[in-house]
Amino acid sequence: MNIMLMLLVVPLITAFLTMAILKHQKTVWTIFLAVSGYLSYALFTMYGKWDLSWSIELGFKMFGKNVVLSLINSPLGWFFAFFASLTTLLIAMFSIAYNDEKHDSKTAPIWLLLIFSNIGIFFAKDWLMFFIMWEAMSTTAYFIIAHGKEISAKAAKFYLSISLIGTSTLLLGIILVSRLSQTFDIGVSIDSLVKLFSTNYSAALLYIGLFITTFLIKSAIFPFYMWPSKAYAESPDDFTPFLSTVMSKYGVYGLILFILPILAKSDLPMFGKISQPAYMLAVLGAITSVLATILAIFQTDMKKLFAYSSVANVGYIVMGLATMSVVGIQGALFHSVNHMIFKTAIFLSLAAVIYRTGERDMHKLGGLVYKMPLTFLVYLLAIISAAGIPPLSGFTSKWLIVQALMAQKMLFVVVAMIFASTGAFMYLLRCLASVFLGQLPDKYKDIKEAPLLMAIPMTILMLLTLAIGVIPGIITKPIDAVLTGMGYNVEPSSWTTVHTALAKSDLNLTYLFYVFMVACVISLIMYLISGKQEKIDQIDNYTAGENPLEWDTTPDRFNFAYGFYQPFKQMFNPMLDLISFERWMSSFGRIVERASSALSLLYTRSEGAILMLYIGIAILIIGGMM
Amino acid sequence: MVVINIILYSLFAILVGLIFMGIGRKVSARMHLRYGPPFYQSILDIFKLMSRKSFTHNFVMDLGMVMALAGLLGTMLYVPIAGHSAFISNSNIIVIMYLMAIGSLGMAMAVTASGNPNATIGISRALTMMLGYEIPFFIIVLGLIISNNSSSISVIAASQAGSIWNWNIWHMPLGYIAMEITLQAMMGEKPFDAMIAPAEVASGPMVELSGKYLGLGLLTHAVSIFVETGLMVNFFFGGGSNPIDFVIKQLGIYLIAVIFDNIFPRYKIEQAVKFLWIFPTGIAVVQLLLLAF
Amino acid sequence: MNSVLFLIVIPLLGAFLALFGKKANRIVAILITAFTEIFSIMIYLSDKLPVSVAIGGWQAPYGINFVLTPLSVGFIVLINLAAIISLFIIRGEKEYQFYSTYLVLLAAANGIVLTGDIFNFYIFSELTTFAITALIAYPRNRRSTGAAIKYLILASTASSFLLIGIGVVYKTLGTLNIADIASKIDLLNPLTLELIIVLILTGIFVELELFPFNMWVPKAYFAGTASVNVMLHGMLGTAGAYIIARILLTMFAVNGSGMLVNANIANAIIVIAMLTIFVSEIAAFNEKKLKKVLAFSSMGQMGLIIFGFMIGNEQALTGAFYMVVANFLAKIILFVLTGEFIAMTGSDNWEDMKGIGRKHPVAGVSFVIGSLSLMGVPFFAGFWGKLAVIQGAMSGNSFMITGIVIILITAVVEGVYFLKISHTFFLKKEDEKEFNAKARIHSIVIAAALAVIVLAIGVHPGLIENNVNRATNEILNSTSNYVDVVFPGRY
Repeated sequence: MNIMLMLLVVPLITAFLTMAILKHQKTVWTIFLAVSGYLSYALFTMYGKWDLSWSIELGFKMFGKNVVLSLINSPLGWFFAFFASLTTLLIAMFSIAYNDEKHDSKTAPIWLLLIFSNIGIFFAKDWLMFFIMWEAMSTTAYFIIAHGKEISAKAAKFYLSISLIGTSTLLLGIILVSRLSQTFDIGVSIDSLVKLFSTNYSAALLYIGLFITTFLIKSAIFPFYMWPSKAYAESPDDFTPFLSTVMSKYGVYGLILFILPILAKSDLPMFGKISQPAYMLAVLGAITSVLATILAIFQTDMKKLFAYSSVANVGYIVMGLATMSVVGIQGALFHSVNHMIFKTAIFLSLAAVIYRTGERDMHKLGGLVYKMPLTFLVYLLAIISAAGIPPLSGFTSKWLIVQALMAQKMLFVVVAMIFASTGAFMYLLRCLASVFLGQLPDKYKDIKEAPLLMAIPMTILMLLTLAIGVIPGIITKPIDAVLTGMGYNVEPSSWTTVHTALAKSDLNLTYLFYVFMVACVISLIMYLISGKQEKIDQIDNYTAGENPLEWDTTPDRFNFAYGFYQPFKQMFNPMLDLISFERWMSSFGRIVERASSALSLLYTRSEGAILMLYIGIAILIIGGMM
Repeated sequence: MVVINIILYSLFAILVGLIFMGIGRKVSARMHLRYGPPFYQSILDIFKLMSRKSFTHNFVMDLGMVMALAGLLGTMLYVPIAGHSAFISNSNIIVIMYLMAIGSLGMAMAVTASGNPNATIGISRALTMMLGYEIPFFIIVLGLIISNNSSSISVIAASQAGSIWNWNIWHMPLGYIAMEITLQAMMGEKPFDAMIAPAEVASGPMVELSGKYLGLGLLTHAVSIFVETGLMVNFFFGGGSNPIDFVIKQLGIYLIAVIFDNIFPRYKIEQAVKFLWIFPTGIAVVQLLLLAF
Repeated sequence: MNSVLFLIVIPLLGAFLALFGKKANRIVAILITAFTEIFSIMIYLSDKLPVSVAIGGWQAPYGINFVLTPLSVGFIVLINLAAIISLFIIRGEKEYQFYSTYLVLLAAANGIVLTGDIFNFYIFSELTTFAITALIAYPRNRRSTGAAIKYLILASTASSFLLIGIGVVYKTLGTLNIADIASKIDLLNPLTLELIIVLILTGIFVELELFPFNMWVPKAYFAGTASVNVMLHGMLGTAGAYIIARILLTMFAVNGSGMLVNANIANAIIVIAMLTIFVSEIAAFNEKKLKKVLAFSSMGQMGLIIFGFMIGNEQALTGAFYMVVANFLAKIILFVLTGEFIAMTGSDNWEDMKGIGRKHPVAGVSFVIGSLSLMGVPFFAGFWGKLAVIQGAMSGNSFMITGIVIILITAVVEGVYFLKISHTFFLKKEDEKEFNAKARIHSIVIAAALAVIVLAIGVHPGLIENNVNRATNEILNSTSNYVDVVFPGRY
């Protein structure tokens, strides 16, 4: 059987299978793990076989011929699909342990359907396949986010309405573009759009605008940056990493697949070194990451905080793509993978915390480092990576994107990038300080470290981010294939060094790691040769031996966590009120609801029926006169 | 060989930083019409602190302090000292900016682990301040990178070689002014010292540190002074023809900061951030536009 | 082929017999419907189509004739399928009135589709009006009586317009035969033609549930029992779709090409379709009564179907027929399940239906499949219809482009309320109370079977490709496929 088809069939069949045996949750999740393992393995073997394909002809005519659905193994699709399935594999391992009696979300079958559409999106060769899978992904994701909980269903509704707008624009765009090229093939449609750009600029802009809207919605780029904070926060804890790391990449994938080649090949008006539409994209990315960073800093719910953080990270990726340069795209692809790794690590460690404590508000936690040291370590390395601090992987990609932006002289975009990544430091540390450090509340005195099955994937992720940080070649080598596949001329990248377009600015990351290690050793020696230390209880020091319980308070009340950045927030309050897209959306929703009530009232009144009939006749008569 | 180099450079930076701190204290004292401690007082302090018994609360505190010093030392190694550095590298500015963050992260982690609210408030202020000064700092750096088409400090320093009139301070005076203000914030000197404000949060991050932890903190601070002034020298003062020249320039820059520190009162944190985002950032943007177009 | 009369006569006979039957009524009704269904399938599969059957040997245009084409027999099959299903899900209706009126409805609905004569069309549509009124009023409470009267008033007003229209046709063309009118339509002067079209359209749009002629719809669905809902949707609605194809696109077509003869009125119909889609989907958004939601959605789908029919190219027609089939199947699933759910919870409000999907996962999933198909999500039958209609409308005028935008906007609203409702079934039940009644297995089986068909068509649209192509072809070349059947050799 064709391996491309197997990739689709295996998750599909297991989805129905697991639906039948949904009661045996451990079995279901084990099957889920096995499927993700199979997919990862199959994808791994597919590397380099860029001629694999599969297609089927349906008995449905469009443009005068039968519709064909086809898949192809392209380097770009492979790149995303492989790392997505690797992430899924690790999450799946975590899910087995996570979904016990108390936490079972029963979402495994739908999740398998989502993985099925995931594969379809990344390997689609024609727009129809792409759209089919895209819409399947949107709707299945709705059911997973909602997962039979009232509060989640509300959040999911928000996701769904925005997502459906995205599918609507995508459908319109696909039909317009395929009418233009008289076929659904993606490659042909790129060429015909390039041609359209030379003849009818504004129409072409409208066409790609429709696609870009869809992709921006799915990746939550400004002006659609609001939905993740709701959807990510309320989805099942073990699904959030998938939502945040894999599903936010669909839009990125779409941009690279379709928009970038068009912008690269078309003759467009320039703004500085790059074309205007690309610059627009970069500005959107910049606004997204700045806004999301500011919003993340003020969250008290840790899942919401990292939802905004994901939005900001996708903003970096879009900025990198918009440079249209080899280094920028390399950085963007690299950051996509990095984001998958470190954000999965972060969300999994938080899921472990939630699993043990049942608490999502950061200020109600504290001091968990005493009870869950491994989780703490995973989280620490993940945020070091997320903050873009060497020698972990997040640095390399951020560095590449910054270099590309500077080389293209996109001055204010790169300032926004630096703002966002410095701000990232603020919110990452906020969660670290509030959840893992500080005083341990009494009610969490007895909690344990995360179970083994959770610890394994977290540890693997931790090692992965370190390994990629030290040896960037693990990722840059496959990226070479992707860039070659996209038609860029690239030098084979080295295992240790990353290159940039600026003069004399290449960076050897392995060397950086050595240097940092030597510095660590020096620092450690300083620490070791100095005097002895004594371990004392936290409150012994700063309450000078007084017992807080005697003043009717508990030590954990001393945790400074709730208004962590209060003065800073006051600075931004007027702006936050102004830009509340959320408020705008919900007021729009209210308008629709009111209109809906008014219209249905029209139908419950009997008096107007005949009047309305005559209005209808009037429409017909006037229409006939026109 | 490289390892020995690294150790020597680290010791050198620590020593210079500590002596700078001592001189700074002396200058402050003279401005207060006091006599002040000898210039080597900071070195003695370090020996004293390191040999004392100290209190820790958990392993995070130990890890954090070691990480802080290691991060700053690593950063220091990437800063070329009058064209010399411990190993061959391009001394990329972006690397330095991000490496410095390890120091902040380690410090922040260590002191929040103590559980003292004063320390945590101090850290929250320090991070807010960091966001405040990174923006103008990066805009200035961006101007330098754009005009040299390289993000290597060596290249930037080398471009100013030759006469004193080649220094960037003459080419981009606005950038220098902005950098001077920003440097004040980077070093945590007044008016930007809300995070360690002794009267409000009892020295903030330092409140729970004792013995060797405080010693490591002081060492970190010493190295950070070396790095920050070193960057300034490389950016605007030609980078120095030899290490002694380099250190003297650093000292000059440090003393300017110390003098300002003694003159000004303290901003509240939000005032400080607003100030940094309006004045130095505005000046830096003007400078950047002048360079770019 | 005179035996085709059985499709009308046997139900009418049954309706008369049902007045005397007691307990056997249901069985008799089922047997009769099963006979008509099997008989119509046999006709559809036989190779004798298309054929014109003159009743009593009087040839058209003077006699009454029935026209059996792939299109009309196909619709008969669908209508009788809905009829059977509506009988299977009956819960509690035991009196003879119900079965008697039902059988009249069946006869009339078959008659509407089969007749080749516009006056008989009028007669049959009057019959359906009265049958439906009686069926809606059957529960004999305040709600149903009100709804029935509302429907009766609107439908009678409309049929008076229809009758006047037919009168004008007879006065001007001197014939009542649809094929005859179709071939002579060019002879009319434009103003008379317009008058006729407006009068006849007014007559049929009430039954087609188009805004603003559809003030009766939500109340009627809400008041009717589940089986009446299925009849309203599956029999009346499907017959309505056939009426569009036959009256608008055959009788009033330009040279038998499937385009309405008056382009301005075609645009006006598109505007009405757009209004219908917009109004119904918006109205459904905040509706709490599940049956009313489905009623609004029925209106919306009808608007979509007529939009597809009015575009007038092959692609859009194919899409419209796909949509007819998809809507037919999916809506029946939803109505069947809604009836069960309301019986189980004792509440009309979908917010009270929590926990049903957890108790009966098959029913819950079938409901989801039905909703997704109506939304036009890929892998479900509705997608192909929507895709083809939108693609077909792209080549149309600015009205049609606006229509596309409206369809896409309302698709968002539709998606939100459908999935919101579907997901409610999977929420945890708040109280631990048992449900009022048990779900009946055969209803769920019917719904699940239809869901499987919806899924199958969605995955493999080729399943009904031939049938749809035959229908499309008949509309696009109605001169050779319809007029020639009735009057061999006229062209």
